[in-house]
Amino acid sequence: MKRMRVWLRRLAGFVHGDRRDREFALELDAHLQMHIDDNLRSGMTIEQARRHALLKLGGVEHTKEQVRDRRGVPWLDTALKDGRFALRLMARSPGFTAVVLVTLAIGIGANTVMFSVVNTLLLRPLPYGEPARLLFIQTVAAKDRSPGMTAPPDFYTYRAQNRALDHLDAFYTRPFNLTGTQEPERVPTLIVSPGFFSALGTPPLLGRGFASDEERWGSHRVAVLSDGLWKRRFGADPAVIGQRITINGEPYVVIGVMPPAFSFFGIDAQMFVPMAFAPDDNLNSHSNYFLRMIGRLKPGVTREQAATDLNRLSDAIIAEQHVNSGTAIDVTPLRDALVRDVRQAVLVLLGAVAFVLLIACANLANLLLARGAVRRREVAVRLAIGATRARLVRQFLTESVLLAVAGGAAGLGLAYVSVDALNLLSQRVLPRSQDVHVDPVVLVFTLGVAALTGILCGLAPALHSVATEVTDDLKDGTRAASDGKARHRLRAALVVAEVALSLVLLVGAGLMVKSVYRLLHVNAGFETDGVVTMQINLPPEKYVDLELDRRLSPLAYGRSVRFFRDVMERVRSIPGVRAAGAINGLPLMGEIWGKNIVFYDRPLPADMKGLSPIQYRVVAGDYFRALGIRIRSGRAFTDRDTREAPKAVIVNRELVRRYWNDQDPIGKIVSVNPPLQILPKSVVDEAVKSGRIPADYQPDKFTVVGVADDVLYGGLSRSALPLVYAPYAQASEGTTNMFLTVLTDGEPLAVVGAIREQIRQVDRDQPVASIQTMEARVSASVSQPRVQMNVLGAFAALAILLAAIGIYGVMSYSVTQRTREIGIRMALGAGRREVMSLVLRQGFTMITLGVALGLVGAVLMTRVLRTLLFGVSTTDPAVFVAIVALLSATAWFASYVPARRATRVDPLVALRDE
Amino acid sequence: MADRADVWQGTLALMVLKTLETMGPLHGYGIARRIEQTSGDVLAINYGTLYPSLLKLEQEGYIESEWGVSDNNRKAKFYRLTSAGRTQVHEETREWERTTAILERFLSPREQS
Repeated sequence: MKRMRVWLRRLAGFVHGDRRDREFALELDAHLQMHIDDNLRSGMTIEQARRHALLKLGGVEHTKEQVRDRRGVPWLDTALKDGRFALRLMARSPGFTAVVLVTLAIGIGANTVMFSVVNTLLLRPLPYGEPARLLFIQTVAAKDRSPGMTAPPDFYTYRAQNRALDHLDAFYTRPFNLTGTQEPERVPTLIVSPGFFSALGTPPLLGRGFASDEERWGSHRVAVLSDGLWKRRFGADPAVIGQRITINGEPYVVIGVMPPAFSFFGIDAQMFVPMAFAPDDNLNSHSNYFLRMIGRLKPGVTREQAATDLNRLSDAIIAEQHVNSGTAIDVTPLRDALVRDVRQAVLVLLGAVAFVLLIACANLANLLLARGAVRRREVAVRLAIGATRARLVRQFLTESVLLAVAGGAAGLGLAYVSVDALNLLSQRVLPRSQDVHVDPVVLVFTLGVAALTGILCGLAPALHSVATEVTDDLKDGTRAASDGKARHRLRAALVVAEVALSLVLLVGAGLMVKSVYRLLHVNAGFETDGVVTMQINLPPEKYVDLELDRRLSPLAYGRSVRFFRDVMERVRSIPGVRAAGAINGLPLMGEIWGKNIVFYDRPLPADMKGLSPIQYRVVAGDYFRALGIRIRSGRAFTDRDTREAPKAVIVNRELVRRYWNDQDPIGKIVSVNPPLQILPKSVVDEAVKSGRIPADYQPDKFTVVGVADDVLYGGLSRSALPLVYAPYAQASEGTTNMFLTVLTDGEPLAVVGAIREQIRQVDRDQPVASIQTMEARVSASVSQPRVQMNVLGAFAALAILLAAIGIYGVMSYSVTQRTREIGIRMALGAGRREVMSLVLRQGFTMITLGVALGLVGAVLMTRVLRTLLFGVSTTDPAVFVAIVALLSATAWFASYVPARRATRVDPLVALRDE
Repeated sequence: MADRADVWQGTLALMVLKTLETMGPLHGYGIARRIEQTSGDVLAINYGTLYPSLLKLEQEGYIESEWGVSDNNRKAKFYRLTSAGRTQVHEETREWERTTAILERFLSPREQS
């Protein structure tokens, strides 16, 4: 109890410190007066009386300090005092303070931004229920784990027979046409198995999710809207539940609306419908792989157990049904799947920004050291009158921490602003469509970094400052030689470190720049000048005879063929259009359609395992000419390649290389579906029995009529796969989702209006989507590496700027220190050139050492960039040489300015000025 | 070293309290003078050491202070015992007497009978 009272009193004493101090001063005054009075009365002179009284007291200041220590909370007292002193000091030298604050704001701010990104992507839990148990499950190639998709029958098997998961759900995306009273709209839709929302733990805000029987064909015509679609097209009307809408020409009922914050996998889905297949739907077979899956672990089950369990099922399917050979199931935590692509990049950038901070810290330490030199006398005086070294160190540290915290606050402000800018970028590049923003975790991080920076940067200068010999510094005019040299060495060492760190960053940035350049200049096999593309997704119920399609009849897509033929004829007639074509998957969009090729110029393989995989595309119109794809031998498709004409295909050079040993394939016969002999007997019997194929089914045979140049369909950084083009009119498996490619004379976007008009004239209700020039598509495909390059480049630029400032600072100070020496030399006859080289020699050592260290560091560190680079090795000599040149030039320039100043020293002034 | 200072502070504190008990309210200078006299001028203390002691006693609640006027018509801060202080004096005095009694038995040679 007594202790509590004492502490409370002390706290009060702290708060009212000044008042108490004054009061005590009065009390001491009175004490002394009374004592002096007594002394006078006993006969002393006024001088003796005063001196005696003071002696008996034992020192006024000492007493005051003793009381002060006891009166309040001493460390708080001194901290506050130190703080106030530091603030006064900062105000007195605004230039110094400004430079420090800016340096720190940049260094700490950049770190805050990167940490926010890391926090959002890697640390913050996903916005789903119990996200730790959520998994992303997909079929992969067993050999190299390259990702694939899953066929619906397999998904149903896994769902029914797995033992490790609470939920297993599948999803895929398709654009659906939403028509009705308003403008027809193509809405990207996520098609999911019914348990999807409860697997994620994200029920709809209004209405309900899907019931398990809604995956049955016939009961499946229900839809859940996204918040965005609800607000945009339905006016946020709560009565939308139960409303009828028309999707792809069929009546659906709205049963729910998702909350505004819901997003999944970065997929822009505005509508959700249950996954359902008609009884004989070909989609629900092992001919079609397009599903991805998510799952939720049962409590107590590990991911490894789930993987084993699912692979057991997958192996059984391979063994019993003779399909999916060479595949396995991969189970990853959902978060990892979301950030997999950018994780490496983000971590690299976090490392880079830490470097920037280190350089900023080195600058700060340098500045503080310089400051410390200037304050030597102050330190000496304070030591002389009795301050302890520890006390002084604490004060210096307070100064640097205060500076750092102020810089940190400024940096936080900077970060807050730039995070908004980053979000604009992140929409396209980062998979989490969640906002990157500054949240409490980040604030704590920033504060911690700032405090740490202050202490680290301030410690060496602080310790150094108080390790002085008092007598030397009190003397006028002399400079303790050893002290100056040691201080200078420390500063030089810091500069060397800065140069080295900057070099590493610059090399990294340089490699990224070269990588992006390489990506953009890769020969993708097509031309982009003047090409505009747009997506037309025909509603199957309007353009496909579903009954015929089920029976794999080539007549099923008759209406779609006519549609595209009409459209392209019309578009071709638009003035300014040089060629028009269409394809079901544009270059750089991915390897979206895999099939197998069967060669009839050699013995047939014994079973499915012996088939040769290829990529497959259907093209219409003048596709090759529109995209400038060269036909190497043979011919392109023409209007005469109709359904009745002999079936023709064009292959690409990679296919010829891989499967025909580069020999001329023109005239050879192939097919893209396996003949019945190869298929497992059980599958054939089943299909014939269910009427899906006629008993005498034979796959269409095609003649190779041309060889086209390789085109990078998979992306600029992927190599071309063997590919078969079939004419749209002749392909037996059609598609209603095609991309128009139009080559124009001038500005491609100028004819878009005319193109849309022509399409409207063929079908008024048909929406057109994804209108983009080919150039924009190419640019978008490198947006991720480009963003990385920009950010890394920005950090590198900051680094070199800070390093240059550091070099300048040290050199400039050194010149000031040596003014007298320079004056003497010049008086003794040294020329300007000699003086300059004298000064530069100092810089030379620092820079060379820094570059050497930096090179070693760069060689070691750029290894982490390997997965991010394309076409550039991590030790690319051209980049290294260029960066070394750049950094050296900058460093030399930073030294040159102070060196020139040295030559302007007037010997008379210099010698006089002591 | 620290122990000695603590003991010294403790002794000083007791002397202050006792002085106040005997003399009634007194200012710092007066207390110091009185302690010097009572100890027979054997104790030559720095008057300054009194003040931290007074502060501590005040924080502990054994004394309270008030500005008043001294004999010479000077403004001075007067200290006075509180009731808790009064109790404390008696307790600590008893404590000291007991301690000295024990020590006396140890330090003065006596035959064990």
